[in-house]
Amino acid sequence: MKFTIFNISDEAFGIDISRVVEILRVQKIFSIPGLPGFLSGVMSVRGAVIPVMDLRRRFGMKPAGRKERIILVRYDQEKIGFLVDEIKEILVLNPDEIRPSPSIFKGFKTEYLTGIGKKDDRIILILNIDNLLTSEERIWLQEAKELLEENSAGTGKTAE
Amino acid sequence: MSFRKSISVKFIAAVFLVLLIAQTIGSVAFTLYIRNTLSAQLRNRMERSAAIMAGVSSFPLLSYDYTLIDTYLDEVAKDSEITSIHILDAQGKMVREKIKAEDAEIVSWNPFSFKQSFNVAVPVNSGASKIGEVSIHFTPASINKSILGNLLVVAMYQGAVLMLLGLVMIYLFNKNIKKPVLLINKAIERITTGDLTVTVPDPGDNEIGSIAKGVTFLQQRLSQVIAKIGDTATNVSMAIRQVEHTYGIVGEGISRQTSAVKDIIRSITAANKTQAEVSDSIEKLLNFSTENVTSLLEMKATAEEMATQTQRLFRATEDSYSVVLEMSQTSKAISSSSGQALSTVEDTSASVEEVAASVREVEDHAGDSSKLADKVRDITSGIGMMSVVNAIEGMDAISDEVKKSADIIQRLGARSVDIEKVLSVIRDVTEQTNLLSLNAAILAAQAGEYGKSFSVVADEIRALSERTASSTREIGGIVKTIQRDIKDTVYSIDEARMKVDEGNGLVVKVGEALRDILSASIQSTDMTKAIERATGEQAIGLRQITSAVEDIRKVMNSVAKSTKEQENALSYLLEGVGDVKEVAEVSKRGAGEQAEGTRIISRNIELANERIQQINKNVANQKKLNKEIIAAMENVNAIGAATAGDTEDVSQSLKTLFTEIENLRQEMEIFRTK
Repeated sequence: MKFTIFNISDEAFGIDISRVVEILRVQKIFSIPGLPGFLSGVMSVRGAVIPVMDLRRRFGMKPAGRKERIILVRYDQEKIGFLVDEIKEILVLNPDEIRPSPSIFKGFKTEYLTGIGKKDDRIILILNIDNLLTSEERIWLQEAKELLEENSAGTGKTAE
Repeated sequence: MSFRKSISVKFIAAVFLVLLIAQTIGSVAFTLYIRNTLSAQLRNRMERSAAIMAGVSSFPLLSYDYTLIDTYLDEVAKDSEITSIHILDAQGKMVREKIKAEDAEIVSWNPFSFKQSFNVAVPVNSGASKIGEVSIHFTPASINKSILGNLLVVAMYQGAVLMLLGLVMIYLFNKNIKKPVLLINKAIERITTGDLTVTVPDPGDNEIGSIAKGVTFLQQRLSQVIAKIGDTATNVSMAIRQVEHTYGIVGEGISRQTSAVKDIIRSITAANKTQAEVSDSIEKLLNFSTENVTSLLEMKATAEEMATQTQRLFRATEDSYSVVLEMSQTSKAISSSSGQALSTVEDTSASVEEVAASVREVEDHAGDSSKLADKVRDITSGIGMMSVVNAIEGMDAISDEVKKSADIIQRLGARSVDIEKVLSVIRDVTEQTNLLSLNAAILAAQAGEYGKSFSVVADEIRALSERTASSTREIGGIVKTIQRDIKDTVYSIDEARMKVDEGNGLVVKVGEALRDILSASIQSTDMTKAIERATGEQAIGLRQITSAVEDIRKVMNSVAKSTKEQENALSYLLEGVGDVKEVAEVSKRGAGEQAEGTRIISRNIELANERIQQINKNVANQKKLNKEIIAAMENVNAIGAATAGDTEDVSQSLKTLFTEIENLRQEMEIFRTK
């Protein structure tokens, strides 16, 4: 399996590459009224409006500060951007290199992880992105498409 | 307080009067009502009796049965009120009658009693026709009696009630009003007499109580005010006493001042008079002294002339005397010293020889030092100055070079900034490449089998970008180091420039020092030259001296001989001239002294004259001033007199005020306060 490896602070995380759409530089993030608290704002990617969530905030970690990237991830029918520190590489992990995660690993809830990858001396926390959002948040994401389109039409104009 | 004036009595009397009137009206109304009621009842009863009588007497009247009628009459007449019963026939003729008492006018003091008796008449009917009439006369005595009784009872009852009411009211009045009012009154009376220590009774929380409180408040205020007034009065009286005392002093001072001023005026007037006399005598003195001066001046001129004449004479004698004396002395000296001189000349000749030798030596040394000084001058002016100029030029060249290299390094620094800019562009491109390669890798991975080859390319690109990034970082580090080095270099170049400037300054100073040395060496050369020249001249002089000494020695011998002869001749001459000189000296001294004395007197008189004139002027001024002073003093005197009058007035009013205050205090003493 292939994983996109990124860093938050000093931790390395992996996301299944099949879920990753694109890696983006950080761009202008608009905060629009009516957005729920778990989102930092929305951004415009080639005309599509995409909500952005700060993964560092979700994990309660402080950004390393040097770099910032956005990983665009497919989520059901929608897309969502995760704000992370740095994208490292694309890494192939064989199944024997992935282990199930213990109940709590380095203070992370197990529900966020599908397992822990080990390659050479590196430890990679493999994220279960389906569990990153609560069911409420997922419902909001599904329903909010129209609201986002409308709002972004407005903000897009003002931004220009 | 008299009984008539008492409010309570008045009040009670008024209440009594009102009650009395009201009750009288009531009792009159009541009596009238009873009178009417009773009379109506009586009349009814009589009418009923008459009707019964008429009913029963119709038949006997028809049958003329008069005995029956009499029986009936007796029966009816038993009623005590009935005085008489009369039975009349149809024509009105008396048939039968029963008279118990005659009708008479009732005499009574009672105004409500009936004065006359009443009568009722009832017709006696048989069928429809009237056959007669029954008339009953009856007395109102019982009614009168009951009215009288009623009147008495009501009056007595009312009297009793009024008495009771009066007693209760008087009691209440005494208890609730009169007593506290009397107490308050007593307190007020005591306050009025001046005793403010009284305690006003407190009759409770009612109207009198509020009056008592008011009185208490007034008493307290009064006592405060009195205390204050007392204090103030004491203070004021003290102050007045002090002021009076002060005024006494002031008055005394004024009177003293007045007398002093008067004295001053008197003395000034006296002074004025004296001054006028002084002025007169000065005037006289002035005239006199002017005359003196003129005669003295004449005298002085004569004396001076005499003096100069004498002087001239004296000088002539003295000159001739001194010449002769000199001649004599000289010849003596020459004679005595010519021997000595001879031997001295010998010595001199030897010493001159020695001096000449040392002068020659000096000459040699001076020549050497002159040569040396010349050399020093040549060196300093030639080689020294040249090297200084060279040094300055060299320093300037160094400074230029340093400046140039600093410019170059500065430019280098600017270049490195450019390099940094380029590096940041490269960094940007590298990042972008890295991102692209990552996205390419993702796309390749998602494309599955088809993407595999593409994924290899993406990985390569990513590796390339990472390498670029790392080398960019390295270059950045190097550029930073270069920049730091440049900064250090610029700093050290600046330092070097400063050093060069310092060196420049030093070189200039060296130049100045060299110039000083040069001028000093030129001076010393000049001096040695002068010495050389002087010693040369000296040598020549010495040579001449030596030969002169030789000549002198020859001459000396002949001089010694001739001086002896001359000496004898001169001693005769000296004796004659000495007498003349003595006479001239005496006359000269006398004339000089006279002239000097005349000069001193004249000067003194002139000085005295000037002084006298000054004094005269001053006296005139003082006179004027004195007049002004007198006028001013008179003013002062007048003011003093006015002030004294004012002070007297004030003192008088103060005395009055004081007695007033004393009176006030005595009055205040009546009040006893806590």
